[in-house]
Amino acid sequence: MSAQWHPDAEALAEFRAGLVDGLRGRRLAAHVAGCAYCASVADQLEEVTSALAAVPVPALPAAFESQLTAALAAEATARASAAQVTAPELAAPAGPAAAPGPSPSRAHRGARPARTGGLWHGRRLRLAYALGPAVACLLAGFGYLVSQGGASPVASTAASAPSAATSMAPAVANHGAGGAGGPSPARKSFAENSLSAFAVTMSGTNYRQATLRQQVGHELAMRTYGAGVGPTVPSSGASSFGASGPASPTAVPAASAAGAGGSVTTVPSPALVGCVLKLTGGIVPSLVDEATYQGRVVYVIAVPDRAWVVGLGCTASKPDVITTVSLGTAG
Amino acid sequence: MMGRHDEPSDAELLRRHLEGDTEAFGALFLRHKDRLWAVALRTVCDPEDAADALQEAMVSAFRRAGDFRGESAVTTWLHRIVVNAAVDRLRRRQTRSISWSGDPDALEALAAQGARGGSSLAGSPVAGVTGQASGAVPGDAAAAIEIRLDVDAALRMLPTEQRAALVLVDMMGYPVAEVAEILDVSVGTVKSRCARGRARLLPYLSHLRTNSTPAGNRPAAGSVSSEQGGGA
Repeated sequence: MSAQWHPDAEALAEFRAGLVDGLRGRRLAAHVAGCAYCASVADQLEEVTSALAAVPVPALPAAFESQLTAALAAEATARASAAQVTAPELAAPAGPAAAPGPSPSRAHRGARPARTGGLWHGRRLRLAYALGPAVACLLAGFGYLVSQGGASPVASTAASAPSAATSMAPAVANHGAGGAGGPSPARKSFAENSLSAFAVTMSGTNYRQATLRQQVGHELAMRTYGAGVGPTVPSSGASSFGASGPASPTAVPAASAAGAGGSVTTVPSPALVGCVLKLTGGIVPSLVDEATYQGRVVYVIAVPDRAWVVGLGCTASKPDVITTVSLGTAG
Repeated sequence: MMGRHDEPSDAELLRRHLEGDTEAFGALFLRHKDRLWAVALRTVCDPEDAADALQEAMVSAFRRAGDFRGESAVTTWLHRIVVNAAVDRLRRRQTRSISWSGDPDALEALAAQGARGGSSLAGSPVAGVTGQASGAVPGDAAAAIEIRLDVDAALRMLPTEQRAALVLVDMMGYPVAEVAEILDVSVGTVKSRCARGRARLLPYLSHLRTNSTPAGNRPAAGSVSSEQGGGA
């Protein structure tokens, strides 16, 4: 073989992978067998594999794990709610106060149809009372607090969100590969990070640049009013909700569950959850409204002192903020 | 069907999920989260994008669990969804710069920063090689960090398809046949992508020849075969 010619590294790598056959393969085999240089390159290729294999697998960071767990919990809640909506009848359960204890999964599997207040109620996001206190608490942590809007202090929200979150988190965490029972790190982390979901209203409001602050303030005030007229809306905390929640699904106040003015409420997508928590710094928002702004379909997100208008593609990594406004004394 | 140590198998967990068990999918995710995360992170080379990709993938898998036909392992199916989400995110990212130094020790701080709504990871002190430069890292550990950073930096030079194949075969130690299923390509294509990727990496990693020590990336014995892509 000529000592002047050597196959390039790619050809050698493909040859080593058994991808070169026929005449070319035989020529390469003969050359490599007698070429110290090519043998050296082949060794280096093998060492590339070794170097790659030597890099340890990074563990999923706890904060990301919490976000993912929250997203999956939201999915589980949405699925459970959807399953309820499709049920033909819903037997009125004893309510959260009378049935403490069942796990979300058991409650879900045991969910039975119940009577509804009519088609309109059936089409709304139905708080999952029949799914047991855990799921109801989950929704209480954000759904009802969202309804209370600016009247709900941050401290109250912060106290509720982790409790709500932990109602679902152990369902995920307790069945990890380790199979450890009891409070898990995932559960604790979930609560500590105050990550949870919230309800999204579709008020139909056409927000405008010149009047955005006033319009958001109005929406927040409407939600405060809606919460006020509800029969059994908790003041704060998932535990108090669990003890005094509505006795039946038909007790769900339309204004508080679905937002003011009869607006429809939906469960947020995981991407929207990330977007909102990114903007609010982890605070459960007072308002997340899918509406229009200057003719464009957007989400309007508000905490007591600030509001953001974001595009529908907003995510935690790419918050598509169109505008933001300080609410000051509004709301 | 129960797996080892009386824990439900992956397939059993997926079946329970389809039957409405709200805990089952979370358990499945927790069982494989680190390896799925590693694949996402090494493929997109950015922690926030990797987290987004992994979340998209898991939500998609949650919703589409009924599409799983049992023709492959559940883990293969999960990895396929993660890789697709990661590649899709890379395509969407286009010109956005990669911000992660490759140091896993910085990930927790970065993740916490991201979860708090902090600024981009780019330019963050913890995203750099502070662990290496601080002088607080013992010699062997410093060398390991150096290898890790070099490998991660080199991986970024690769086309996405080659990087994905090398991450799965060489870094994660999955069998070529399984990687072919994950990537939905032929075994030959996987071998070719790996071969070309290794050749491309050669100039960047040749200085590590004396430092590299094959270590614990390989799956636990019995979980995958020892077949490797084109290396022999």
